[in-house]
Amino acid sequence: MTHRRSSELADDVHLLEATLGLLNSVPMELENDGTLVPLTEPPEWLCALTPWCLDNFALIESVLPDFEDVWAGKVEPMTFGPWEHEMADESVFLEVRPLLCNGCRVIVLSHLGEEYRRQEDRMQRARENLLVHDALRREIEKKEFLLHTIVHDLIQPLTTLKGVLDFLGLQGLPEGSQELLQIGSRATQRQETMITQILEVFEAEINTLNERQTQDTADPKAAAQTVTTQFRPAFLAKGVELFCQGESLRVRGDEQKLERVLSNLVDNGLRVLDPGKSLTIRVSSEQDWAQIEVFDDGPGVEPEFSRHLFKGMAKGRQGGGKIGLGLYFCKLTVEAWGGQIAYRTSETGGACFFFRLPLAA
Amino acid sequence: MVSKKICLLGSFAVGKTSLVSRYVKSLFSEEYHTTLGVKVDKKEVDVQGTTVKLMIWDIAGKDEFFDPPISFLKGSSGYLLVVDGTRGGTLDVAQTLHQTMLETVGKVPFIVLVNKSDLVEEWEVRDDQLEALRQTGSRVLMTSAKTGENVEAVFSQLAEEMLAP
Repeated sequence: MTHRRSSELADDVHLLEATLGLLNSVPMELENDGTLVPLTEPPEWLCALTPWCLDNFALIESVLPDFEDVWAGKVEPMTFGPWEHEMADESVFLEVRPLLCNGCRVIVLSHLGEEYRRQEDRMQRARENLLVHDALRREIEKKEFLLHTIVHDLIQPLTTLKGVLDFLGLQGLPEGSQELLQIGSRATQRQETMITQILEVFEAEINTLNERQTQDTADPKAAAQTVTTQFRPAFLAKGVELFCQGESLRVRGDEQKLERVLSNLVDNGLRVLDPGKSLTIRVSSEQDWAQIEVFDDGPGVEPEFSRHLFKGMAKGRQGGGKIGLGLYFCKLTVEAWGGQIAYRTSETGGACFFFRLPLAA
Repeated sequence: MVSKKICLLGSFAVGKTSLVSRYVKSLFSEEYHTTLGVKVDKKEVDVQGTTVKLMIWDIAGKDEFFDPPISFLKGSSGYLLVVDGTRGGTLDVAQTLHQTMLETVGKVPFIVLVNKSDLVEEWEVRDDQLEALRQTGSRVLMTSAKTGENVEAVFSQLAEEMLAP
C-alpha cells in the first residue's frame, strides 16, 4: 500500500503509533490470503481514525479481557464489531479481531468496505418497510373499529324497520296500504343491499394487507358452481341461460370471497341480459395462473364507460339502482390475492369480465 | 477520572440513536437512520464532584435481522432499555433484552425509557403495562428525543446510581 504522509496527518500518525504502542502492537495489513504484512506506515483511512482510536482507547480496552481468552486459546477466535464511527461527512464501519501470529498477540482493526455499506442500505430499507407495515397495521385497526361502529349504526335501525314492515304485513291492512307496504319493503331491501355493498368494499379495502399474506386456497370451479346454483332460479325466471364450464383448480384466496366476486359479475350480467340470451362462467389454467371468465352475448359495455369500470362508484346506463361498487370490490379482492381483473368484448360482441389468480403451490 | 460503560438497548427505530444524539450533541433529526452493530459516544459528566466519562454504547436494535452479541454487553455498568410508546411490541423486546442483560452482566442499574412522549396520543403502550413493569422494580420514565424531555435526567440518574456504593 502506498501512502503519502501529509503534514496534516503527521500528528495523527504519531498519535496512532502511541495508541498502538499502548497495545504493544504494530500496524499490519491483512492480505486476501489471510497473511499479515507489517506496514511501515499505516493506511490513510486508519490515520483519519486516529483521534477516534485514542478517544476510544477505553472502548478497545473493554474488550481486551475477551481477546485475552482468545489469545490464551480458551475460546474460539471472535470478531468484534461492527463499530460505526461518524467521520466528517459519512460513517465508516470497523471490526476488531484478536489473532495470535507466531506467539505474538495481534489486534486487527478492519475497515469494512462498500459491501458493508450496501448491507447497511438493505437493512435500512428492510426496517423502513417494517415500520411502514406497522403503521399500516395500526391504520387498519382504526378502520376496523370504525367499520364495526358503522355496521352497528346502519344495520340496527334497518333491522327494526324490516321487522315493523313484516309485522304490518300480517295485520290485514286495506288494499291501498298493502301496496304502500310493498314499496316500503322494496326500499328497505334496496337500502340493505347498498349498505352491504359499501361494507363489503370497505372490508375489502382494509383487508388488503392481510389478504396478501393469506395462505388459504380456493377452487374457482367449485365457487362458480355454487354461484350458478344460487342464480339459476333468477336466470330461469328471466329466460336467460346460465352455464358453468372448466376444470377444478386451486388458487390463492378465500372461497367465499371468490363466490362474492363471481356473484357480482353474474348479477351484473343478469341485470342487462334480455330473455333468450346466455351467460357463461369458464375456469381454465395457463402456466402458473388460473383464468376465470364471465362472458355473455348481451349488449356489452359502452366503450366510453369500459375504461372506468373498476373504479369506485362507476355506474353504466343499466345501473339498476346499484351504487357502482361491485366491480371495485372485485378489483380490490382479486388484486389482494396477487391477481388481475379486466374487461374485454366477448366473441359475440357481449361483455367478458375476466380475472386471473396465481395457482396455489 | 472514572469511566463507565452504558448500553442503550431496545427494538429497532425506538429512538436510541436519537436519544444519544440529543444527549451528547443536543441534536434531533426526524429522519430514521438504522444503526448497524454499535456506535460509541462519550460524554463527561459531573456526579457529586466526581468527573465521570460515560462511554455510551448505542447498540443496533434487536429484530429478526439482528440480536445484540454478548460481547457488546459485557462490561456494562448500567443500561437504558428503550421502548417506543407508539409500538406496543417494543415493550416485549425490551423485556427480553432486560433478561439478557441480567444473565450477562447481572444486576446493575437500569432505567426503562418509554420514548416518543411527544406522540403520546398515538401510544399503544398502556399505563397498566407500565405500572406492571414498575411493580417488578423497574424504573420507568417517559422521554422524547424530539423535545428533549427527561433525556438529560435519565443519563444523570443512571450515572449517579452507577457511582453509588
